[in-house]
Amino acid sequence: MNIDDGSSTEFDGRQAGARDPLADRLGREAMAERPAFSPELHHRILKRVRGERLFVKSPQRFWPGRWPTIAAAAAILAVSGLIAFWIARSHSAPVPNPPASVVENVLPLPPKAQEPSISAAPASVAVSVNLGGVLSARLFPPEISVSLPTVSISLLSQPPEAQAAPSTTLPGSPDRLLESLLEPMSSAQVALIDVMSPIIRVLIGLLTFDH
Amino acid sequence: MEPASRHPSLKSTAEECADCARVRGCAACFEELVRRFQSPLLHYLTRRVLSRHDAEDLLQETFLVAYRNLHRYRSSWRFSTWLFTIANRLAASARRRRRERVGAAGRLVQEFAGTDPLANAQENEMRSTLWDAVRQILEPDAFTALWLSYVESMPADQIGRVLGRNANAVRILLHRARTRLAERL
Repeated sequence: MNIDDGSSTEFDGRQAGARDPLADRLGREAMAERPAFSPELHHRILKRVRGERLFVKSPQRFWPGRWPTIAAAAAILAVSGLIAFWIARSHSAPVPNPPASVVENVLPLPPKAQEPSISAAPASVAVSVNLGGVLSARLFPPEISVSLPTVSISLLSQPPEAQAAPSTTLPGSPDRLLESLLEPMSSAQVALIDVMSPIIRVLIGLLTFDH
Repeated sequence: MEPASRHPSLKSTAEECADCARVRGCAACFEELVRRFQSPLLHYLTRRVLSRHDAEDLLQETFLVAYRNLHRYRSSWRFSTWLFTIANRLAASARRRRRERVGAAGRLVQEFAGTDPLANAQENEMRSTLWDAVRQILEPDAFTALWLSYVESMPADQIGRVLGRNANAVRILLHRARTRLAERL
């Protein structure tokens, strides 16, 4: 029944059995009393196994076909998580500390005169507003329109601090929602969306792939 | 129905049949395994528990456990080694349970066992053989090692897997068992 693997030594029973009379006798006696194959017992065993088969579902049925998909999905999720973490971390990196060394005995320089900067000059933008159209849309049903002259308004472009100021509209209102949709995305958000969208597409494709 | 070209024939090894049963859920292959190993396992279990009835129960339990855990079987093991490992553990558990029962019920159980004519007849039949003397002299592990070596022709490393020991420990166990038997027999 078995094949010798060559690992036997002088203590191995089989080699000893070839020359040991006791081992020879034990082997012969065991073979002589070996029970014959019993069909009745065979059927009893199979009956119990068949009864078991109704309840036992081997995980082999699930894994061989599915594990590459699951492993690929897990790998993609892990990689996308790492990339998202890396992007978020790179955008929230703290400002490096100023150098710890202090230069002593330096004469204070006279303050420089404030030079006019072109970029600092407020740029004015002329916007023409159709007041009648705005009022009709806001206050009246569609069949009523109000005619008012178009007004030209000169606006100063806002400094960054003013742009970052919180909105005055009520949170949750349609205006606020529209405003938030129109807000420009930060570069981190843009990068995250660029990375995630193909990954999500691949994931959906994998999960809906039918074997 | 499995394709004939991929289906292990009756001449295939037990490992091929086990793989077919494990991977493809082939019932015919598992039946073939039951057919092949019924006699050797029943023989070993009868020697271990000294009762044909208990041995048959343990045999059924062995194949049932093997079937339930077929997904854990790896081809690196010989199927016979794996089955004998299961059978050996079940026999050890049965022996432990029996000892606990005897310990709990004390003399009552022993007296009852002494008056059972069928059990007495089976025991007398077993006592008439040399293997019964071996069983009396040796510890269960040494008995199993000797049985697997002399009767099932298993090499030391496979016996080690059944007993949960390394091959050298099995060789030493066999050597000591033979020495003790030579002294007593």
